[in-house]
This record gives sequence, C-alpha cells and structure tokens, in this order.
Amino acid sequence: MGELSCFVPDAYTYVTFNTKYDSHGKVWMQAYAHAELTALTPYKIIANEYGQITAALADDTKYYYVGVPKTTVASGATAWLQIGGYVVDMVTPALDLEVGHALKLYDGAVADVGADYTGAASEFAVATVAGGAVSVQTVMLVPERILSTT
Amino acid sequence: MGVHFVPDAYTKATFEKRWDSDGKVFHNCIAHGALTAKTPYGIIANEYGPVSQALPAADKYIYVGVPTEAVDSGDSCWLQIGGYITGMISTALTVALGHGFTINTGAVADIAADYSGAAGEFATNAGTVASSTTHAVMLVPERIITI
Repeated sequence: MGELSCFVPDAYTYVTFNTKYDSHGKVWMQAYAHAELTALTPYKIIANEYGQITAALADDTKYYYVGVPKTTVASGATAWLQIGGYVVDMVTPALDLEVGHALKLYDGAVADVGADYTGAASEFAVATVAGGAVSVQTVMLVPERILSTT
Repeated sequence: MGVHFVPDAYTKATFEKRWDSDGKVFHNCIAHGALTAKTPYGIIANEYGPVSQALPAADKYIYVGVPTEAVDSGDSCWLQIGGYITGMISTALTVALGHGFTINTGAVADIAADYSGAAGEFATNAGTVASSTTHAVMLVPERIITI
C-alpha cells in the first residue's frame, strides 16, 4: 500500500480514508480521536469535515466502522484503529461466547449474536475463543462497514 | 491505482478506486450522459462495469461521485467520491459546518445535524454556512442507500 506513505495531511484533510493491510492479516483505519481512547475498546469510526473521526458507541441505527485502538490514544491525536483481523482482549460487557459466534453492535454496546457469524448488518467480529462470562474477548474483526441496531 | 486496468469490449471501467496523496478518492465510470463539473451523480453498474447516473430516488445503493470538470457522454472518467472538494453544486442550501449532506428524493439535501453515518449521508459540510448553491465538503467514500 505505497499510496499510504504518500498521504500528506493539510488544513482540510487530517486523515486518509485509505486502509492499511499488515502482513499478519490485520487491517487498520486512520481516524482523528474525538476524545481519549481506551486501549482495546471498540469505537465508531465515522466522519466530520476533516475526514474520519472516532465516536463512542451509541444506541442508534447508523452506518460506521468499528475500530479498536491497540493502545491508549490522546484526544485530538491521529491514530490507526484496528478494524480487521485477530485481536486479543477486546473489551466488551460480560459475554459468554462460543467459538465462531458473531459479535454485533446492539443498543450501543457489543453483544453476542448467539449464532455463527453470517454477515448480517450489525455483525463486526467473530469469536475465536470460548468464554465463560468474561469482559475481554479474543476475536477476528471483519473489516466492513456495519449498520448498528437497536 | 487503476493504472494497470485495460478496458475492452466487456469491461469499460475499473472497480478499483484511486487514492491520491491529498486524501482524495476517485471512482472510475463511464459517463451515462454529459456530466456537469462539480455536480453530484450516482455511480452504479451496468453490463460494462461502473456507470454514472442522475441521482436516484429512495432505496438505491450507490456511490456519490463528483466530476472535477465536465465530461462528455460515453467517456471514461474518474469521479471524486472521497476527500475535500470545493464548489460542489446543490440547490440553495444553508448548511452549518460539520452538518451532513444526504441524497433525499433524488437531490442533495442538508440533514440539519452533524454527519452521523445515517442512511443517505455522503458528505460533511466543510465550508461556510450562508445560503449557497455551491459547497466545500468532505466526501465520505462509502456506498450509501438513498432516502
């Protein structure tokens, strides 16, 4: 993805819409941090007048990407959030997942679909480790724009 | 990006997007008619690949593309679908900074709230708020469903 290295932010465009694909299968999307971002916590990636920006998950029906910052990000910083590929210890409410089950955005929070991933509108990840009710999950993020549900 | 595509009798435009160093994103298509510079069009597909169309009514999945200059009917062209653009044409709208633009009933409309990713939204206002038929916007390069 050589074109990524060519992107030059300016007064009108703070981040690139282009995605970054790493050799280990992880996919990243650039965004401007709307506030301090907590490591490994899912956030929305939407847009404002300067390009892509993060937002907290909300109880809505909206189109957006789900991005997970690898580390803490300061408010107003430009960051790459993981939107695809394997991630360990993604923060969620307490969920008791089964391997292969989908995670979705429902009522403003991450929820267990209770069935295998199917690509339905709000699904954004697949569980790769069975749980026991825990609040961190190991998942395969699916790098597609979703439609959250309520 | 896109430079390796060679059109033929079956495929007249590439589905591959072009990403420029200034953050702008372009989509190749065949012009369905004469395209007016800075006017938003839909980009869908026909039997030859991506093709432009007038903005459709509700419930159609399209990219919204803006030609930076006039295009002749039938020409292959690159329409801007993402990034900053000035002078985008609409009906007279008074739009606040950060508000979203949507495709509503076949026309560009103001959602009167910040861009939120709701159905139909394709751009964020990046310019002045006075009533105008031209706008500086940040195009969001995603396929939308019109409302």
